[in-house]
Amino acid sequence: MTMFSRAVRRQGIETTFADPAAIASTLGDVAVPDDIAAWLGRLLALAGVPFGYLVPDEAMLPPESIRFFRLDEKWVRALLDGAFSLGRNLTAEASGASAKLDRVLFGPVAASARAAAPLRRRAGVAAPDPAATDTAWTGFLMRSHVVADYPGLGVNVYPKGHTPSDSELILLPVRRLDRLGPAGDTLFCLAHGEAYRVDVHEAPELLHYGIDEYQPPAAQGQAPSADKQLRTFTRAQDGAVTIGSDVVAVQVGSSFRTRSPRVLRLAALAAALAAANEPGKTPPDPIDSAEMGFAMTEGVGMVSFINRSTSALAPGGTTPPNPPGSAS
Amino acid sequence: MKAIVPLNVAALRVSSTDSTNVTPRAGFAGRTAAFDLLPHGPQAVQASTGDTIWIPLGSGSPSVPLETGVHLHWELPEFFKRGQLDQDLGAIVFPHAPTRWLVARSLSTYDQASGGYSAPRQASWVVESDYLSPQLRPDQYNLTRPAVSVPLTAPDGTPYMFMGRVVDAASWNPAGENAADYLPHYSGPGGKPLYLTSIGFAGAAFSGYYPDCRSVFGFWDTFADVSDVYAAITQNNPVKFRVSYTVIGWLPDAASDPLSGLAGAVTSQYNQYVSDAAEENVKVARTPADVFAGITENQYGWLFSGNAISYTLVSDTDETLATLDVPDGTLVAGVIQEVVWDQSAAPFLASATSGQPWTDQVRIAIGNTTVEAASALVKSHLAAPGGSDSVLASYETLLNALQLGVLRDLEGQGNALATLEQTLHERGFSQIDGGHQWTIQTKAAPGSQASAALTLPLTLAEQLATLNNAQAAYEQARSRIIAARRQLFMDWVSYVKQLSRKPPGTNVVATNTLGAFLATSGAGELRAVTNAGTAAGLLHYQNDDGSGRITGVTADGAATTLAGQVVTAYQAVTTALNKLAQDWELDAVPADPFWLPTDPVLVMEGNRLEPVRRNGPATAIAVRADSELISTLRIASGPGSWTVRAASVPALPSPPATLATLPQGAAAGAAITEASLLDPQYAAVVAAAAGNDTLAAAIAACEGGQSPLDPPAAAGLFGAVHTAGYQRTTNPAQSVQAPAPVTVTFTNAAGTALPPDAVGWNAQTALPEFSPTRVDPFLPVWMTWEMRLDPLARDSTGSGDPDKNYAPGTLADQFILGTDEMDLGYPLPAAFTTGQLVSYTGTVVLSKKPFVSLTEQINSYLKEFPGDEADTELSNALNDLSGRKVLSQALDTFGSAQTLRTTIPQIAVQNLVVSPDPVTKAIASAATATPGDSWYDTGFNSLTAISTGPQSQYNYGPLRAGFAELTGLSVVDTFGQVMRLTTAATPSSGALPMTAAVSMSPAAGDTANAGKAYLPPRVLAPCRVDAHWLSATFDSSVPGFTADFAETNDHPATSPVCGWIVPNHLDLSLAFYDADGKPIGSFGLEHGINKYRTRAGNQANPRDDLDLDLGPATAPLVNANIARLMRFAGGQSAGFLTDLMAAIENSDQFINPASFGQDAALSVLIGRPLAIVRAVQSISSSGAVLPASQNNNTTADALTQAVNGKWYDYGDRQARTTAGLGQVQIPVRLGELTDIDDGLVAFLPEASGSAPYSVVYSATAPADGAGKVVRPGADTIELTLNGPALTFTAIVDPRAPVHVSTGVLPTVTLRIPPDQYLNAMQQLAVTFTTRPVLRDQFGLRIPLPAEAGFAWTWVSQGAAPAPLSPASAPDVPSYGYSPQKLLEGWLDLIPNPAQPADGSQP
Repeated sequence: MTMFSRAVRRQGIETTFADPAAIASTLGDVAVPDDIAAWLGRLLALAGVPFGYLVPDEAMLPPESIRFFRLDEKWVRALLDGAFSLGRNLTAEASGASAKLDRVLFGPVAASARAAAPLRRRAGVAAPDPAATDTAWTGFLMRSHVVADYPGLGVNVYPKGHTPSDSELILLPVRRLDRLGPAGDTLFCLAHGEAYRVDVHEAPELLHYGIDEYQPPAAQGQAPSADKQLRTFTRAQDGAVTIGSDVVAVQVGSSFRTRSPRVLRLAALAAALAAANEPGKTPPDPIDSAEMGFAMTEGVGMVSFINRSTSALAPGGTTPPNPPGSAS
Repeated sequence: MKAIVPLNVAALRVSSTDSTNVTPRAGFAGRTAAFDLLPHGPQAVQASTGDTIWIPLGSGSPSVPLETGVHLHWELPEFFKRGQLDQDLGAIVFPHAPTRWLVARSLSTYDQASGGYSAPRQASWVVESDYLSPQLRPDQYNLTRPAVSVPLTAPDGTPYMFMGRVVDAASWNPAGENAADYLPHYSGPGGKPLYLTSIGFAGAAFSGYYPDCRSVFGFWDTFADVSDVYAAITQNNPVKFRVSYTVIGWLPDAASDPLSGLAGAVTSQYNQYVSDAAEENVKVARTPADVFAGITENQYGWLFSGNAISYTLVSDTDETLATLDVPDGTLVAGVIQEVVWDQSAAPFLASATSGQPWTDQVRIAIGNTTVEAASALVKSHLAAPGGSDSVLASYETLLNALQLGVLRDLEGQGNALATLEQTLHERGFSQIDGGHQWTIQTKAAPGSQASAALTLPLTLAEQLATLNNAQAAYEQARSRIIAARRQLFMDWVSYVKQLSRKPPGTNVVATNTLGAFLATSGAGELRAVTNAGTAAGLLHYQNDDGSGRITGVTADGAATTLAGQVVTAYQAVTTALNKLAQDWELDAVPADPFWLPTDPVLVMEGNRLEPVRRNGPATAIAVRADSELISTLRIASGPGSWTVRAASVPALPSPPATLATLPQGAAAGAAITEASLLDPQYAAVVAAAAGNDTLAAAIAACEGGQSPLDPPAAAGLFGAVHTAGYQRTTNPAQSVQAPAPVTVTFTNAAGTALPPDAVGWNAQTALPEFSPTRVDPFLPVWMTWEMRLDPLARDSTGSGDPDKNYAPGTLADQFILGTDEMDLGYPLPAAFTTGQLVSYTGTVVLSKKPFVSLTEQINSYLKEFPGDEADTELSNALNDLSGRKVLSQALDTFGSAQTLRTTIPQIAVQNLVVSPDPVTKAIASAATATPGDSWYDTGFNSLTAISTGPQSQYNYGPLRAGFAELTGLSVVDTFGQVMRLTTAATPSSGALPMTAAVSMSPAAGDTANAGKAYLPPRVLAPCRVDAHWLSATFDSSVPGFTADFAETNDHPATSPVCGWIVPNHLDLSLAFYDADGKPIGSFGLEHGINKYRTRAGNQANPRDDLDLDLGPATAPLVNANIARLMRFAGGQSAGFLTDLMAAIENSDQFINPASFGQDAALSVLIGRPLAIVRAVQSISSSGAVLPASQNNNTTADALTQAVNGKWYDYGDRQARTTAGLGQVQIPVRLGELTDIDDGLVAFLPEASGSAPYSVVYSATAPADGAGKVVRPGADTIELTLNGPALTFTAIVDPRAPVHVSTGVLPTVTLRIPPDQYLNAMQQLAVTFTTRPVLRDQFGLRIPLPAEAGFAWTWVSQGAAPAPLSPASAPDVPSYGYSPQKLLEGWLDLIPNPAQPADGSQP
């Protein structure tokens, strides 16, 4: 019998398939084609998973609610397995050759899928390369008018000990931040890592003129009631503006048009602000556009959620039913 | 222009001492064919049969020993030795050999006083090879040259004449030849005109063995014309001289010159190419020179330079040929120069032991093929690393792979090892033509190949099957007729020998009885043979001149003959084809060949074994045009330079005047002149012509090729040309510094001179391995061998034959075809032989296949794959091989001797001794009675029976097996010199030790047979495994079709796929599909029982009733075969289903089709569809003929039994006198677990009736199953020779072929063409079991990929399929969806009906 004999070869085939490690060494590096890895990566971020499977009953996500969750790794594995089930023979035999081959292949495929999952933000303050760590994925679903009305809502996710209140700031990479549907009211956010604090804010680019209170007019033709808390300022000869410490409340209701009580008459507003800034002076110095901008511009709104009780995002949360379409 | 083809000339010096002490003794063999010994006339004491004219080598001293003088032999160029099969005759036809040879000699004698040679003296002769004369006549010196006796009747009625003569060139007169004196004037037994070929009347060795072709392809220089030399050499007086010979041959009849049609062939082929190019609108890229080079290399094996062709084209736009000049005639020319004869050194030829042959100590290896034996020989040199024989055996595998060119694949390709083993095993068989087979293909466009075979409409497929069956019946009948004619001839030989023997002696069968058996009024063997011929008829094929395609058939004889039936069926098919009006045509391809086991091959290695490759190692040889011969020497020495033109040097030899009148004259003259310009003997003449006598020695040194007996010998141009890998250049130059600085340029007037090829330019060469003074060649041409066989035993007594019969279980009981083996092995202790050794001897012409190829292959492998893992071992092997002299030879006739047959010189059936002899006359006239079917054309007289003697007595062995030993070996050279081969050690048994290849090694641990060669069982008749798919269905409207029919073509004309199985291992269910891919239902394991479920969504069968889905057995709703299989599966237990599923799953790891990437079928993506196919298998021999015993030692033996039983018909005789060979069960293995490109999963033997199945066999079945799915055993399938075919249903992965192995025959593969399985595979409706899924308030929305050409539906239990849209985007919430429901069901992907049915875009 030679080392090339058929008996030796047959034994070789059998030995290889009997041991997942032997299969792995025979296979060497498993290369998953880029487009397949990318598709599986998107699936890891739950793209394409029917909403009904994520939220089995919509009562679990009533209007104007936010629900935090943590992805169940077993569920994700089952999801990937379902997608991966094409092109192989499923078997009930735990020790079958086919099952062993699957076992060997799953690791490399899942790893390439993870590496290919979408990544929304990797700024200087981001967490270490997520592909290197195999941490949990956490996120939230928010169902609110805010989502529909403020299409550019942003999210910052921080791990514990690395929030803006801490010395070292780390932003968790966001795998997915989608408003579900073109005009939907549901926001889906998925971050790579254990979220401790989540800041939801308006789109950062949304700087605007703002007032502090507005009551529509009681009747047609009347002026609305509107307040502006004005921070006073002084102006030097050379044009430099210095912010004062006083805040005065200015009634700006009369600056609105009476026929269109949501449209400002800017000249009237400027006059009102000028008067309020220098209450003793008559006539007050007119304010220019820069001063106007300074006085009226407001930043975006932000809401922070902090995981005080560890149970809310802890493992063992709600697990959705089986992923859809996992052929069996 | 003439072509000058190199001719190898060898010279053997025979001194007076040699001619008395050496050449007449045992160290020499003489002629083997002696037609002059043919008994004739009333005085003769034995019959005039072919065996009487054969003198076996080694049977004693030569009758005509070589005489004193120089004997020249020239080896015909390979072109003339290559026969071609004539399709119509079924016979090998050889080209005309040259019949006129000019032998020009230059001789200079050495003068002791002056210390130099005299000026050369010239003489020349003409050898007329095909001259015939009734007697040998002495020449003017009263010396009688031997010639060749040939079986042609002389004017006085003597049944032989002598062929070949030598004429003094000066008196030779070609114009005065009398045609009646030459061979072409005569006709052969079949009435065809005779002409001289390389095999003459004696066989393959004729032209290569000097004692058999003296004065035909050889010349004896007696030196009688040079009286001083003659006196000295014949009287042993001191003399020293040197001679050079130029031999030039040609064909006097221009029409039979090989190149006579060359210009026409080049013109038509080139012009055809130009017109094809114009038709296809492509540029003309090939030149007439390319076409010329292609034709000359491929058809002749001749490589011309570009100067051998000149041509002009019509115009720039019309690129056809206007004029063409290419060689129009052939001259073969060669030189042996500087043959030095120093009388003081005589004898020249004696071996170390006076009067005894030379000996050589050799190593011997044996294998089924040269490849195997060569690898085994190398293995025998290597020490076993760590004493492990298995590592050595692995080296052997590596070397085998290397020689077959698959070494590189072993690592890279999954099944290369399996392929290698199959190839090696197959090489152990020779192919015997299986005749024609018809196929239908698309018409070929002009200038391109026809397409592959087609899948046909069912009725046309059936008509094609009818034609192929008729064709096969005809071919088998013809094979049977040929066998019967040979048997008749053998019987006649027995008869005529008895009839002619004086005194008559005692005969086993009375002569009269035997005569009556052969031919009697109204009956007899002859009548049976002629009747069989009449019943078969004779088929003639019409061929298309250009492509050679068969365009029609006609038959001699009535439509009822087998040939007539072929014609009828042929017409039916062509008529149907014409009606179809497709672009299809009927064509013939070679049918599957029959396989005859080859005889074992020996490879021997020794110091004195020079491989004989007199015509060079390559398949093609460099040939020159006569315009490229050297005619001018330009000599430069220091400041001086001289040009010597041969034409202006009268002292150089010139051809005889008569030659100048012939068309070949000028070219022959130029060849003679060239030889003198290259011959150191003429260096002084050249120097004198240059006017500088002192340069003679330097010019000679530039020429080279001096004898080692006459130093100094310089390399010169001769040495350069003989260097391995020499590339010829025009006008080659050579320089020497001593004895004077001289450069000689060998050129001609046009500056186009090329040197001669090494094959045609020879000189005396030292052979130190023989003796320090030996310069005469030893060129092995024959080998004789003696072998001892311990043969396979026959143990049951048969009726009617005293020879014991083979038991039907001979193979199955005593041998094992292991699951992992290619060939039959045996269990220990070996007990299958008789233990009675039988000796065999044989004489074979040594093959010229170069063993050197192994070293070349290693070299090129090392170069091509540096850094390969095998390189170290290969380099070791290469070092070991370098410089070794190796011969390889098959032990021809070993096989035929065991069927008690041996070859006999073919002479016509005649009785020259006893007259009248009506039996002989009747047979002789019948043999040539049918025009176009002469019995001689198919060699009916080529075999004779070994009917008496030890070999025949109880040793008739048509089933070859046993253990063989080699007991004697010798080789005989071209001139008759004998060399005995010995080994370093010879055991007391007397056998020569040899290394057996792994395939011929006795089983490990078989000490009783160690050192012998194991011969695995082989049937000594051309056989083949007939494994064919059965059509999946049939159409009874075509006459003769009442059941599925066997597809004889490799590409079945219709699909063999009856249906499909798609396993689901998760659910443990097997889904069955109809042939077209429609789902039927599935069997699944439910609650511990085997439960049938109808296909998903089938509302017509709510109770899952199997019978409802299948329909009644008499009119099934699905393919009848699938219905039968499903009924069988339905009747089985849960254990059956579990076992079958396990077998299918286990098989997965062993199947990895080589063509997996090509199959873009959707079903392959989601599962593993397995095709249900049916196949028939049988083993048939050519003509259904088995070799009948020829034993004739007692009245109980075969011949007497046949005569007494009046078994006139060969079939009757075969049935009773083949030792029960036809009843021996041959185990068959289906599928190959070790070949991952084998698709067999399971098979079910079929019994007759409506419930044909009982057991499923699968190599991967669980070992401890429920009993209905089991692993096949060695005897699961057994076939008998020409026995009934067995039918199987098989479950296969259609993407890989199924292998059918028997060990005794090459493995056969059965393959389903992709066009036949892919279509159905792509149509398979694929259902995905899907659960659970959620359905919300808006409906069922599942994320699905959109598949072009397919639509998704949701199938749930008991509900109609509901279409699903892949476009819905379910990952966007539409609130209001709650509550959701959990569902189970199937997703179904079905092809869109709107799509074309070919499914090309799933």
